[in-house]
Amino acid sequence: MAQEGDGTSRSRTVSRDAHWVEWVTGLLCTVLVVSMIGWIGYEGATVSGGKPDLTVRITGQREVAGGHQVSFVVENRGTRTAAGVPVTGTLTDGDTTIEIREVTFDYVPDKSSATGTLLFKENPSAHTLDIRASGYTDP
Amino acid sequence: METAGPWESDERAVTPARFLVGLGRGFAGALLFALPMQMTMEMWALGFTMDRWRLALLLVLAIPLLIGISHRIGFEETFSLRESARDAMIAYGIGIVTSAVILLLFKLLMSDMPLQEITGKIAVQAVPASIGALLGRSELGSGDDDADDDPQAGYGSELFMMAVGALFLNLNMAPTEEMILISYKMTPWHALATILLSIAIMHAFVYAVSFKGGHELADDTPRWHALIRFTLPGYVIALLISLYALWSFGRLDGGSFTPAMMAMIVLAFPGAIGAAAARLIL
Repeated sequence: MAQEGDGTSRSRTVSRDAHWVEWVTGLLCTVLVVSMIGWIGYEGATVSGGKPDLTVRITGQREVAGGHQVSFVVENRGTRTAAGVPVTGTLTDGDTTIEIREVTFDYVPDKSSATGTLLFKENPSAHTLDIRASGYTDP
Repeated sequence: METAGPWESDERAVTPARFLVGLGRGFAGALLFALPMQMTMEMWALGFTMDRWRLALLLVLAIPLLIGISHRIGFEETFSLRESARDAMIAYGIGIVTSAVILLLFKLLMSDMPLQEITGKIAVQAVPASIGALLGRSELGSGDDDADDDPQAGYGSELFMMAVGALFLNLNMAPTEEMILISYKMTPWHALATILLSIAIMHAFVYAVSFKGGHELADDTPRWHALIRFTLPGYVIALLISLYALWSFGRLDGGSFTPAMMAMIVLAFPGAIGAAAARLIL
């Protein structure tokens, strides 16, 4: 490399040999970027064209003033994000529907989960509670 | 050259008038940089939904960041750490005042709100506004004290300016829902193309800017040297800052590895452009 007056030149193109730290940083970053590209490429090759796969699991229930809270986790085990996911909880007693509550999630990303809570007036323990994701849109 | 800190020229020339001009530039910079965020719905909500520890961490991390920016753009041999710290704190103050005034103007702060909501809303806006206040000096001030006038910028300082440039664009976009929405729409192939385009644009910028002599590269330095030493580290910095911003604003909660990475790649695209253009825009 050409050496000019070391840093004394007012020209801002100051030639100098790169410090070893620059090469270590550079190579480390190269490894990071290349592995990220590799991971994304692998994902692209293996999981393209997937669909969301939604399941709802109740995680807790507690009594609050004026009703009952049922907490749940909605999980997306699929390989594509679901948007606008309504989760509907239906309280039934035999053929009689007692209460229907619904809450909508903006997004449930692929292989991820989101938590939420439904608020019932009646005690869900005294009836049959069915809680499920009723649909989704593609983002 | 008689310039020093953003709000003060050198010791001989300190007058209240000059200090006020500096403050004015600071307020202008804070508005220029932070208004898009102050008028973003998600940022108001973050004031009360953002995890308090993450907000506190953001507020604390802003201090060394501001000192660093202040030191870098007000750089001169005589410009001490103490003066940098003072200017950084003035900028932080300008950021807080600007945010409070603008949020009040938009009727987003009201006396019947809980104190936690009021402080949260101001705090989350104060960080970008204070960065703007410091940069206002560089963007709106006279040209003779711009960052790229410093001929001996070290490698660390170079990377730091890239980080500031990445933050400059990232903070505007990270709070919006569009960042994750775009990442959900993309297939892995789109993400791959985004990575390659980000790196290509960054590298083009590194070269364009090195015509201004920015990157200490001699004419006979092979191109791949600059790619390894500046472009890729710059891109990794943009990725890390994107990841931090997304995490801070709670965009990664409950998500798994791949969606987080996709959102990071989307946000790092503007981040990369900001990082590469840091020398031109700051």
